[in-house]
Amino acid sequence: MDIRPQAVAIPAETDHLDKGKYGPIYPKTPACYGFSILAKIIPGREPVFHEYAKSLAAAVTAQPDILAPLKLHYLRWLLFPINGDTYFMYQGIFDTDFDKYTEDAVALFGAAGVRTVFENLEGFPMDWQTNPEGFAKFVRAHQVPSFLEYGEYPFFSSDEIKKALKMKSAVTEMLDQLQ
Amino acid sequence: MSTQLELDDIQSGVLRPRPTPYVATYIAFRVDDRNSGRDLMRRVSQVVTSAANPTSPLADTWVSVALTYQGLKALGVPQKSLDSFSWEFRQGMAARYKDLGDTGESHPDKWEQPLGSSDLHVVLVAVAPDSERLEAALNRASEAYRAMSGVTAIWRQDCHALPTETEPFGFRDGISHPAIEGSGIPGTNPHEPPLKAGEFVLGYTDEMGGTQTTEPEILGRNGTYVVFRKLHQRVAAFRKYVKANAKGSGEEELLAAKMMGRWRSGAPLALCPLHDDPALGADATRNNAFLYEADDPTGLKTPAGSHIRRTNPRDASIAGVARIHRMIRRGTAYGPLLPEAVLEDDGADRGLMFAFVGAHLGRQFEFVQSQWINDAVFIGAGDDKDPIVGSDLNGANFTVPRKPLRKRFEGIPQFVVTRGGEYCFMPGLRGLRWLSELDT
Repeated sequence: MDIRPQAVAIPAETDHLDKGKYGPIYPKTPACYGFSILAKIIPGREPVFHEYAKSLAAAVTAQPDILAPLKLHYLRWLLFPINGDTYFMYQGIFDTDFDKYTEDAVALFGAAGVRTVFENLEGFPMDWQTNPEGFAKFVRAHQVPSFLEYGEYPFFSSDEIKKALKMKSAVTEMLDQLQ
Repeated sequence: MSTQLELDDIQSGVLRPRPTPYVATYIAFRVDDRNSGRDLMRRVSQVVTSAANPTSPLADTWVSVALTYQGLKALGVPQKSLDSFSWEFRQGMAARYKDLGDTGESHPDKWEQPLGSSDLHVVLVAVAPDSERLEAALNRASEAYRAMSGVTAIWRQDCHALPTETEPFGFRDGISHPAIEGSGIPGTNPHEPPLKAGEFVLGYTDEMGGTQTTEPEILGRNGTYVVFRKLHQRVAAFRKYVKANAKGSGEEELLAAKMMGRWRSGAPLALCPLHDDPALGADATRNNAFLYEADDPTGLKTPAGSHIRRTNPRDASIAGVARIHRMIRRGTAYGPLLPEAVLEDDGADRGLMFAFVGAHLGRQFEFVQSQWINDAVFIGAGDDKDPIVGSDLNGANFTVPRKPLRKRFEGIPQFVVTRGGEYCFMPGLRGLRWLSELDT
């Protein structure tokens, strides 16, 4: 099997892209679907972000498949300073098209009782749980598209990767049993 | 206390399951003069029946009316009101062709005219248990538009239930119907809790906790979005494929059932995976009473890629939340039946007039079409497509999980071609009167 790494340069202009409800539709890249959201936090809220980190980690420990329906690979949350203000970056890599699954994400977070840390960002719609359009518009307004993406194992879904790991484990188990 | 729907303001066609058997006619109109168009709304509002009084003798015969975005414009609806409708509705079905998978032979350039054009403004649907009563309903409706200048009937499609009570591929149709809070109309799956009214009717709380309204509120309240699609079915090609990929009639029927998720009788694989059970198929109290996750998570009975499991995954593990993508779906056959056992196409146009009813074109109809029918990431199966209604198939794959080894079917040809369709809005009765009284 040939697993050939791929990189793709993403042009700044979006005129060539199809337009969806919330703006240009960014195609899947070798690094799957994903987004990077950058926004200024409400001043003084830094501790809330750290509390949120603990509560989300605890929620995943208690219910490991809580985010599984989002078909994620990785999520990263960052806080960093610019000119004395604190900014937030959220970067997600997943297999589903965000434009299509916005409402699902909102419904999943809502059903799991997980508040979103986005509530501590300036301009975020506080009625997000009943206003997925407002949620999507905020996200799109603060999304910074990549200009370059790379995949070491391009386009593989998290389902395929998990299946491959289970297969490896099953084969290992089988070989052990043959000793 | 759950919501009560204002059934006396909701058109019958929105909620009421169609009678069995039944016949239906779709008529599309172009409005050249806004005052005539408004007069049409006034006249039609007197013919349209509401969803109240389900036990009335006339309950099984009804006329419904819906407007396209271009139709609302033709009536002179103010821009502020037009902008309050959903984004997808404002684009129209033809403009959404890529997301819907209407490419290749289903491309809007190849659609039957005037479907997909800006001439299609108003759609009238008449439904009745038999052609006699349909004729009576059509006569009543035609009094509303006959001899009106400025309004022209530009397209008509007659549909009928086949004598076999099946859709043209030969499967029992019209089995699944969701329960809707406050409608008083029971759903067909006792294991599915009723969906919030706002999933199907504007002006009520939906599953997300939101409420859709229009400007002014009366225009949209108790209305809903309706999608019409004329779908040509290649019945001979379907029969040939099944025959070529199975040995003997028993295996053929099993393959057809695996593709659909039900035997031809309507009996679900979930409840009788090894052989057909016509009594179960015909029993409306049992033929939709099942879930997947506890009993069949890997699809050994009902493949995850089969048509009915894709279009309603129930409680199966998938990407996202199934409940926010439910819809009321209705189909009525058109064209002649292809005689049994015929494997060569006779050139006749036959298929289904598909109708969707729901308050969310984007997360219901378009989502199901793009994510559940024409993709398989949601079930972890890459870019496989629905083996029966998938768009632009030509070479798609379908996996049937089995022990000890799965069976993979490759190179599935396209069995369903889109002939055209449109996104419409079906107003409540007060909304219709508001349209008739416009004075812009």
